[in-house]
Amino acid sequence: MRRLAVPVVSVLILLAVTGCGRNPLFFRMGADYYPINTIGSQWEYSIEGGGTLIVSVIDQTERGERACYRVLSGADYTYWIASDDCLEFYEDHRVMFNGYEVPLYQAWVTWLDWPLTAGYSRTDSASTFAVSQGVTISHDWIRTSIVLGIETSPDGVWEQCYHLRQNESTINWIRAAGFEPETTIVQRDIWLAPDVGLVARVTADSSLTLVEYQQGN
Amino acid sequence: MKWVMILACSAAAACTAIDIDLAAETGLLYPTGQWGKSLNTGVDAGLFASWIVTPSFKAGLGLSLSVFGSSDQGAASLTFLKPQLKAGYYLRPWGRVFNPGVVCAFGLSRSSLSNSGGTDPATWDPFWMIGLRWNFALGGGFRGEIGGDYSSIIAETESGDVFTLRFGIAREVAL
Repeated sequence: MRRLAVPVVSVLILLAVTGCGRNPLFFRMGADYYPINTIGSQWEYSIEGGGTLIVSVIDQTERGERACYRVLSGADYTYWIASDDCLEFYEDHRVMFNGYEVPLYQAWVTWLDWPLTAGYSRTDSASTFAVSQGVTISHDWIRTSIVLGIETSPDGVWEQCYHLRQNESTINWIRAAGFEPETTIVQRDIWLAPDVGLVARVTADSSLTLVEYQQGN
Repeated sequence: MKWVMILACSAAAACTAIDIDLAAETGLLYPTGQWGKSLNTGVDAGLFASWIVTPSFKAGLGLSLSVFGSSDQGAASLTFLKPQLKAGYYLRPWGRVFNPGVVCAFGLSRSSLSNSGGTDPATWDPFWMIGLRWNFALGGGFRGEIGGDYSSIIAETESGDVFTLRFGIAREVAL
């Protein structure tokens, strides 16, 4: 037994010191990859081609009968609920018809489940309709989110980012003569950094890169 | 596979001419720290073979498997597979009802996280454990044990610390 103990202990110590296949899993699990729950937090992004986008957590409010954080993104408000288990986003889908804004779909939808993993995927969808001025407008929406891997952000600044790809398809159809289904397909590549959140977003027609992040109080 | 062979060889060698203590343990695991914020209480099971060096002191090898689920009953799961060296010192080895002791362990942990169809790269990290035990006789040559452990997986950047409520059953085998 004594003869055996020495090599076994040696092997364990050697493996412990050298490590094999080590990575900061517990760091990623403990990090907040979308820290939207601190009022005053602000992200400043540069837009490829010129300009900046400021995103800031304004306050807490109530939306869809639930308490949430209100976020000002450029000139638009978005609404989020952050918990240890998931991140929820208030989907507010509207369409303009004959000069009127017609609400089509409003609901809290899980945006991501925590903890993220490489290969994670989720799909959300809705199929609904609204009647406005005697005309039916149908609405079909589907969004698929897939984590492609753990990477450094495209600008090389942020490590241990989850690279998320979202494909979102929306079909609005005004069921009246002269109207055809209007289809919108968007693909977003998003990099989420630990304890910072969204540090880069690339779509077919825009590219955002985080230049400054200030955590709120 | 390498660890299974090492443990098998160790157990085989240990069984040739010495007194050994074969133990099966289970436990409830409570993550401490931010890393466990999305996880529920975990469960653990392990098998250990220890050489009874003196009535008070024993040391040996073991393998344990721990599993955590996500706190929202979702799809996430975290598993630890821990080959380890373990030692224990007991103050009243003759005590039928009250035999307090202290145990410690050192080894490697393979940690693997899965969620919603995805799996993060597994990580192999060293870990240590220290715990207190209340050992008692169960009759028929078996002894029971309850106690608490504190363990830490020394991973990169941030460690994974766990408190464990431990329950075990053991039998001494003289060969």
